[in-house]
Amino acid sequence: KLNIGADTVQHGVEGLTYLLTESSKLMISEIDFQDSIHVLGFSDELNKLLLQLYLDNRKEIRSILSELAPKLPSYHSLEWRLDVQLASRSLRQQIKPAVTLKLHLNQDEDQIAQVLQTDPSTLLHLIQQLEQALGEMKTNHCRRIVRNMK
Amino acid sequence: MRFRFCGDLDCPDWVLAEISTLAKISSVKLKLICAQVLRDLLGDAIEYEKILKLTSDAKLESGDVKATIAVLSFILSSAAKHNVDSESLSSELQQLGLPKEHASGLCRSYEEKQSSLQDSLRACSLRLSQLGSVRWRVDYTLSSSELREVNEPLVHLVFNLRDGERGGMAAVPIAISADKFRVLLAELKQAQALMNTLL
Repeated sequence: KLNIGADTVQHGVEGLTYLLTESSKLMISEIDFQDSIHVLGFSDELNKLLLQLYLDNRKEIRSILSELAPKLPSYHSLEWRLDVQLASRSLRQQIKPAVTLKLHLNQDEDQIAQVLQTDPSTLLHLIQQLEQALGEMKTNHCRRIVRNMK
Repeated sequence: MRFRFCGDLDCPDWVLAEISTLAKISSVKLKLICAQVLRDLLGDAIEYEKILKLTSDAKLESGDVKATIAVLSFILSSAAKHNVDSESLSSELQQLGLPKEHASGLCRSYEEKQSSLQDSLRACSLRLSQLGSVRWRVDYTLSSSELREVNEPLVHLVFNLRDGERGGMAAVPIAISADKFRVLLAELKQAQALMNTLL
């Protein structure tokens, strides 16, 4: 319908995509955008159209780009059980408590599970460490940074 | 305030907020919705259209209907988890602001199904692997490439395991000589005797 070869159309689309993603990525201002495309020598009307296209779609492009960053596995749920070992082949009359944990993680739309086992004193130590980590958020240093980010 | 059905902890804020939504539904309809939620907790399919019909009188929005199902699931499964009897549950729910008829209707449904709920929760507790079945075969080796006359019995065992980590069945084959098999059997019988002393 445009009476041009398929290659030209493809290059045009790729060029536009590159222009919009780079501009959205760098979050450049209107004036900088206008200056940049002025160099290409298009008509004023086309420049205005491109600017409008950029401003309208900037936010959506940025939200799509933010999802492309690599992600570590994230927490989904935790199952646990508390067992007591009473006897084994080598030794009878024992009392050995153990906590078995199954950590369910989400990684890139898959679910993976990690099984861990620990004794109660290590578990208490783990809880203490995690509570200390949470407590770090309340220190002045962290509070200052959080305030500045807002 | 500590509640037994929350495991002697404070009641979560979202549960408190939804108690007022529960009070909007009539107590008879609430008992029927409880029956549906119990079906879902016990593993049968939940009939969402029935619940929608029952809540249509109270003019709840779709978000409120889902919140009702969520709060009822929490109350019933948490009470079963902490082995709360139905009178204590009724009094604790009334302390939270649920009207008396609603609380007693809910607790009657809970009492009927308490032991089946606890059984189903026990069955889905964390378990790493589970023995499905054992198949066996006894062979008699006549001779081999190493020795002309062997004349030894050999036991083949196949354990079908349900793998807890990844789900699915796995078959573990073992071939075991007669002496080793006798040792295995003796040790397992000792373990079984120990288990019987605990039951």
